[in-house]
Amino acid sequence: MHLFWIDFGTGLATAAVVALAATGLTLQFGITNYINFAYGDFMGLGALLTFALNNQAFHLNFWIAAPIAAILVGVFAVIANQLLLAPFARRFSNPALTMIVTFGLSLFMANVATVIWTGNTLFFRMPISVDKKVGPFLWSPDVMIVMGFAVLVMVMIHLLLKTTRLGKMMRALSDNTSLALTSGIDVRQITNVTWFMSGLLAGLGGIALAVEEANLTVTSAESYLFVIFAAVILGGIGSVYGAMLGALAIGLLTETAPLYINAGYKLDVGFFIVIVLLLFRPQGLVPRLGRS
Amino acid sequence: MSAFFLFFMTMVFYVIVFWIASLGLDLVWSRTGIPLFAYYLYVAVGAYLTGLFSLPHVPLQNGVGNLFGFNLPGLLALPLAAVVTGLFAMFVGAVFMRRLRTDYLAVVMVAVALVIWDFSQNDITLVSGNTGLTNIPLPLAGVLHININQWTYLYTGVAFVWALALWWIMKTVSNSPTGRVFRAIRDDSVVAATIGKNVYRYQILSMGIGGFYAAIAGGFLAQLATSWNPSSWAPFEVFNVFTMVIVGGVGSNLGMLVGAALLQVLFIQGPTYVASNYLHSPTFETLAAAAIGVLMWLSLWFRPQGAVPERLKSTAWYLGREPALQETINPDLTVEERA
Repeated sequence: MHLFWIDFGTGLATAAVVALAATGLTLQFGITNYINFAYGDFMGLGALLTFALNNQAFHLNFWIAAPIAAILVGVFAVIANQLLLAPFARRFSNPALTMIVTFGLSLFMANVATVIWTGNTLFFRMPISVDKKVGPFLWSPDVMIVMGFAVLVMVMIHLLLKTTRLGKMMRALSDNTSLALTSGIDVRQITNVTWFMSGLLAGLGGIALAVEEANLTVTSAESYLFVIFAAVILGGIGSVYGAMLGALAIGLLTETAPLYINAGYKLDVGFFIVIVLLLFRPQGLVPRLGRS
Repeated sequence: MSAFFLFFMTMVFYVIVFWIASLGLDLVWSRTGIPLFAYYLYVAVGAYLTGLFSLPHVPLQNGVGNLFGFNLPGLLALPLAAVVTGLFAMFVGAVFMRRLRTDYLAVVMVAVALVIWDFSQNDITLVSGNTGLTNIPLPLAGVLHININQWTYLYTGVAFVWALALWWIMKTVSNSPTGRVFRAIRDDSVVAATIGKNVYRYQILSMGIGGFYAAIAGGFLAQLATSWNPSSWAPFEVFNVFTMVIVGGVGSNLGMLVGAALLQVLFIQGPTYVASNYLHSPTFETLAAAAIGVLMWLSLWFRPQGAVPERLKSTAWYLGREPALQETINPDLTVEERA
């Protein structure tokens, strides 16, 4: 039982990571309607840029380097969309082709990152934090900061979507593009804002993953891509609150699973959920009203 | 001469093998319209089965062993593995094509490939986990008493004969009534269903043939390397085969040869040779792999019909009365949303 609660705590930490990333992925999917296979590499880019600012150039403090890196990933996402993904999506109506283009982006980013940062395991330059007992859980102070930050980001996204004009426009665009266009919303601008937020959240998710795992490699975020898909699909594709709930479920499931099955299959729990859900309940557990 | 010649023949071998692989993906993706992102899984299954069928029985010890052990000759193990993989591909298709649309199908296919990849890493009873299969026998080598270099030259010829046969079969299938149904499903599955074709059944058949081609390619890869393990393949390598199809020209049999040759010579085998013999650093190889992504974008944007475009075929062409029309088919039409 004791072990279960420790894994449960790790699950909550993973849920924080997955929630950050899944929210960004679902925001982007809501407006573009194709799946971005390079999203895992966006996450990796966040962690790698943090490493670069923290260890290689400028030698910034980790907590200053992280937000700068996340913003850079947001800018990168906007540029990648403007130069590459949006032109292909406009020209070819077939989503499978756009998916192959994002596949190519993933391959490109992963290989360029390998050239720059090598395939070795990297570590952030930050004080070693020792795990502390909090109730039945075992968390390091860094992980606790990441979890608190993730909750804060979720609340901010909620406020942005529900109380601001920008959030309303984003929701309108996600629900019905042509209706949003006719009511005078600047679709291009909102699309850019959404891609920026998607990249920003991917970057934050990638950094959080590296903090949780206490190290990073150029491919460590890529293997989490389908775990994040699982959270997004579980909550209903395009639904932000669904993604948050899905992240909680997926985080807890993948981290407590090693108590019952071979730990090598930890992430496969997520992959398996993707397969079963898309087969039997593609609308997710919390379907969005008014969408077919 | 001989080191370079060996490299050259190995490269020719890879070109032939990936010609076979891209013929199969071309049938499933560009001619039937199924985004088969799990294609490389079938390559791997074919490789594993070829190994398992041709290795002798080894009792399981410390996680290394071989449950099967049919000890078949390699030349026989290869087609047998391909048939079994084709049946496996039909089974996977039957389960997933039943309910899924194109984009969800693509995601599920990658997820299936990832699960089986993880299984091949963790399971030590069936395929020895990360150790994988080793000492896969070189077909014919024992009978003819030749060394590994001579064997490579000989087996490149064997692969070429296989490729020519498979190319001829693909050409025949493509021009047959079945091939026309495949293309009709790609262009508009609703229309194909309206004229009374069982779309689902034809899609499964297409997956089966694709799985057979993938497995032949995989079997050749495993036999050349004499080993196969989880680091020999990754589900995402399917992107390279997709690029070969797009660059070569979707729906074109000879285009697949062009695509496979271009990628293998300029972006995969060539850079590996240059990097290991002249530069002594893997950076060039990694950059070449990154360039495959750029090649695919440029090819899709500036020449979406590919190097050797698919030609529209009229009824008169099928009856042998006039040459094929010269217009090319827009690849945007190649994959149609399922109703």
